[in-house]
Amino acid sequence: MSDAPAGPNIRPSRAADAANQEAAYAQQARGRDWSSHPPYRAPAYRSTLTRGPAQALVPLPASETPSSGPVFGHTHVRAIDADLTRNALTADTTNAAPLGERIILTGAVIDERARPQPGVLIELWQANAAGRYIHTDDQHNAPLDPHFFGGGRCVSDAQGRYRFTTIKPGAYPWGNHTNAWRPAHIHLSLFGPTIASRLITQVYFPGDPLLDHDPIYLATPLAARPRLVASFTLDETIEGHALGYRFDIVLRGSDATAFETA
Amino acid sequence: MRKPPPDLTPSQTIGPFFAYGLTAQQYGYGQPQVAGADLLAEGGDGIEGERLALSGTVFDGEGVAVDDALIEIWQADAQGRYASTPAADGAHVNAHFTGFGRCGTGAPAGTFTFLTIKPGLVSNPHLTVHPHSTINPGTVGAAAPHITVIVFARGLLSHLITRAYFDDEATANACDPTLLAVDPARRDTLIARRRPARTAPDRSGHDASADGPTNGHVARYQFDIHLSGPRETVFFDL
Repeated sequence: MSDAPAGPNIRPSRAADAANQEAAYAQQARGRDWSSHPPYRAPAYRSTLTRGPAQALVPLPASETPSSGPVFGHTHVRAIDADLTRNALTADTTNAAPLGERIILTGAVIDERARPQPGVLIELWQANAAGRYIHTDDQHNAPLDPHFFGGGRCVSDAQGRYRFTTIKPGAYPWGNHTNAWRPAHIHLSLFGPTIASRLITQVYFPGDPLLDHDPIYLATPLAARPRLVASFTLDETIEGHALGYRFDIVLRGSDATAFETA
Repeated sequence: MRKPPPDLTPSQTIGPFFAYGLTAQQYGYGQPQVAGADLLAEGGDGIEGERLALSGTVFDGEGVAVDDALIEIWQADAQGRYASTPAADGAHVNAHFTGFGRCGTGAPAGTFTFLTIKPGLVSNPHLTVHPHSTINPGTVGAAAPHITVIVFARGLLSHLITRAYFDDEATANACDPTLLAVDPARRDTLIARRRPARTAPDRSGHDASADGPTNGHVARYQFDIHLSGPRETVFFDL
């Protein structure tokens, strides 16, 4: 193997090596749970037809089941980052406040075996109370709020709990079809224990009549849709200050234990 | 009564407006971000490994560049160690290198460029070696150097996961368990191509080798991503 680059010889050259590889390939990593997640192609949501892949996803060999993922700690997050009613204020506007209905969005991050997930980075972004994003591409004719940025983050605590203070976002129109409006929603991004836990989702609000008309929400399997809707609770409501919404999040957990006992 | 196991929270699309929330500094919004496209920014010279720029364009099924995708990468260090993997063998995991990066495809439209290091061969602790095997136990089922690439975009209700391997690692690629599990006709969608060391800047005028602190010593690899269409990239079920 004089043509091989320096380093370990990894070319399987004996039947035993081939047997080892075959044994490894026979097993496949656990795939994504498609009874929970929406498909790549949902015709009512038009841009899925050019952006969603047409070919089947390829299973990974079981030996390639991810056992790691990026770790974010409190060095990445300040306390103010979890309070969207204050994180856009400056020294000159410290006594100002964004317009809209103050809410608490809180819950627990667990895995599908109900184990609390501490240390999960949760990032959030949303429109303001008028349904306008601060993003420069958002051309919706609704006012920006100089005291509201709409982005924040926190890290779940030892019990997997997280908590944001923010403003209830407004509905806004989009170009998917005639008279299309997105229901009020908050975008959430989460990093769990491995790269297979990665999740970006949206949390909706109970009783929103637009949910029944939203192709994104409706692309989700019927049984899974209620898992995208927060529940109002007086337990988290702060008297005289903010309404409380609870939204628990279930991430795919680490497969390490399952693999060893398989 | 025992409660049934909880069901997973469904994915939803990232939508078109993530830039200020997830990549605020890249897009010039005056707020923090937890990670950017330069994985060498914090560790600098303390990070061991060959410097490289991984660039590409994200295309939709009609060949149109996708200018509102978010690309995330996750990779091992030059010795094949992931930052968050417990160091069972007592090896010191490179404290300077997180292995995670994030880049929106806003400018130039549809493109991303990460500045990072070439990852090492990742050995597989789960596999046991046949007693009569002639090969090094540390390399059985080892993964060739690769970077995990995650794609989010408006129009993607669930994210996509792929891998960028390197065209100058042919020997390792030939034994990689994942590449071998992929239809040979589609394997080349997973291979980043090394570009000549000195070429004119690309059409956009962007010269990736000029990015970051290692100017002039960066291997440049091209890894385009086709969300669908005749050259659809292989995405993994994970």
